Amino acid sequence: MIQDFFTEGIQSGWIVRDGAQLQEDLLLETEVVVIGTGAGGGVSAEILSQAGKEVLMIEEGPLKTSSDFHMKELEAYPSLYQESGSRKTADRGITIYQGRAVGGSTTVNWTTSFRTPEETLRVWQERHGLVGFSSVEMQPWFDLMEKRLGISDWLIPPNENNDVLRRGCEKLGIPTHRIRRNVKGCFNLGYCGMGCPTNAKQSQLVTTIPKVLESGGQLFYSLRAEYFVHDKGQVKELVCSAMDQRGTRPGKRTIRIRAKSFILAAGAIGSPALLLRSNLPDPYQQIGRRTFLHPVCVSGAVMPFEVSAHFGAPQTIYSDHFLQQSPPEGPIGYKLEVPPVHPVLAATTLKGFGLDHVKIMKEFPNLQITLALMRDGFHEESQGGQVKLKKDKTPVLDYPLTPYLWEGVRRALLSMAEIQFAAGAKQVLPVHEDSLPYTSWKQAKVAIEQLPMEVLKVLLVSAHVMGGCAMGQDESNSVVDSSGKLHSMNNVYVIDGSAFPTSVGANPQLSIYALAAKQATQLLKELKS
Amino acid sequence: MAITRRQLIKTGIWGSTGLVTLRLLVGPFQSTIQLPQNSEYEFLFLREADKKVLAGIIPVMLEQALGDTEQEKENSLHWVLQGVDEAILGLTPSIQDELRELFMLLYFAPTRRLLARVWNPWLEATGEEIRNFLEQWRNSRFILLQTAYQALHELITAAWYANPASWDSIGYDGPPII
Repeated sequence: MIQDFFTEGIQSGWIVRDGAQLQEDLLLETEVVVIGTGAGGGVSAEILSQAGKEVLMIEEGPLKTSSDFHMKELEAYPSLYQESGSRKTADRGITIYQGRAVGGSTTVNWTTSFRTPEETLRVWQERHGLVGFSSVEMQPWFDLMEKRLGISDWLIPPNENNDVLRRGCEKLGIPTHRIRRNVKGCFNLGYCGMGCPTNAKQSQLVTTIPKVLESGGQLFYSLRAEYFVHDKGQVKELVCSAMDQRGTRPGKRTIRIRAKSFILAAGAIGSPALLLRSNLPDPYQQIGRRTFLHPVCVSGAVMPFEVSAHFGAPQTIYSDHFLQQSPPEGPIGYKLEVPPVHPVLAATTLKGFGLDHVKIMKEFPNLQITLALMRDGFHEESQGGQVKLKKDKTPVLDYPLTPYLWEGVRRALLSMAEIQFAAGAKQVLPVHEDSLPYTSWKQAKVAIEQLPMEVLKVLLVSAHVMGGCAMGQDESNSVVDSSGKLHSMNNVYVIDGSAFPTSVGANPQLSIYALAAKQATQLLKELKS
Repeated sequence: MAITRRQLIKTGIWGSTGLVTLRLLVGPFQSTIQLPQNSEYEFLFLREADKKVLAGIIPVMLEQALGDTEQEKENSLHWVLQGVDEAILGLTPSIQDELRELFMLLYFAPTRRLLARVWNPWLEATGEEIRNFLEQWRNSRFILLQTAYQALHELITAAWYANPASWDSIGYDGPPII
């Protein structure tokens, strides 16, 4: 029996409240409100609370803990993901997997931990004018967070899904490397995406949030932060709606929270949406712009042996070969990784219906899936998307798919097919409405070169939403300054992935942790002075 | 589009189609299928008419994945309908509204014939007709129809493969016991 110490903590007196249970409107007061409990919010809340600040954390999603994590897609997607795991861009061209629960995306991510690549930090400084983001200046924050969250080398051999990527690359002379993970005592199960049932993953749910609660901080979940009330460059109040029992609609109760400082960490999409709802001064119309996704295209392969891609640490091998072919400002580069393959993820990802779909699903045990993550936001033809508000004031990301991106998608589908055949694939199936299972690299190459690169034809997904409240020193192309402070308000700080001025070019969790540690520590100094 | 949802509601045609019977005739199998009467699941989104649309489409989308015997197919269909209902309830209100509209267009005979090219009601339509409908929408040059096809694909395949009853057929053992 795994110990569920979050539930035990609540029993021991942690102050944790559920918006859905609320019977009356409330007016609360605190020193610091942290909006969002993911990578940015969790780390910020811990740093401030450990320094003695009175912290109230707010989370729109539900509270689910290790004893709720049954490794079932049926339960996990509706309860732990934005829009049940089917959030989509405005034209439905990209499906976005983003967490929505206490712990945010860290509760459901695959534990992949990379430092922000050097060339990304270089572009942020040179082109976006960020101050304090050199590799040397960032190193202590990476060191600190790696230690805090148990990020270390993963010594267990990769599962077959990852190893096929490694072997295929090796055959073609493409270098691969091992992925570091934020786990302690991991059972190597492969169900990280449905919430870690053993508390091995060092998500915010088991690290920073418990620490905040132990020190008297408070958590209010099933509570949607709607908008700021502001006056003369100062936010006075945050207005929130308690969600209904199902968590998809606001319920009847309103909570108003007064505080000295507000940390906005609702994630890219969520953070800019709150700012848009608040009618803040935005003279250059920058809020919500430059939102990036690392759009991912997918290639399936049927191997002549069992892969069992649902089993074992999901991501342990990667290749940056195709990121390093040209500088970030050149043709779009992509990172190669693999996903865990569970029945629903496989069934919804694989195209076709009827017998075609049945046939490919029968290959489930032998399926190997490879992903290519596009590094968006570095080229002038890659300006990312824009977060907008729908009629009901909920956000939608409008992410236009440009020829610049499609050129990279085609190249990536080719690279992945070649690698999968090199690893011995019987069939390769680029995930595209018009593609067929191809039985040789030669055949696949000819076909992929012809496939139309069009929205909805090519399956594109994203698990990395970044930007929308870009940092920068120039107000005409940014929303916050290098310290995360909103240009338009004196007491609001955006500390999450939405502050990145481009995509990261690597799975972003560690970049967000380090950013949060740096920004929250800086903020603490300011609050003290 | 000639007929908007508002008009549908105004004319009351939509309102009069609520059905009480649970007996659903499934076209492609040319057999009568009955939802288990002892089911305690209460549908909160799907109306009887929506279920009829889906009961026509699901067996074509999933084909033999639903099982070999009539009893298996019947049970599977029930589970998929329930799974789709539950999945839709987890979507945002605006997406729920879009799906409501989609099911109405698919159910209402003039729009079903015009847009889906399915002449007979879903439960009387042949598998061939429904396959053609899915292929046409899948490859349509109208983005709206393409997205509708993809929504149906996603809802139906997710509902079925989330269900442990489907796992044996694809060689998935289910989650480990810890």
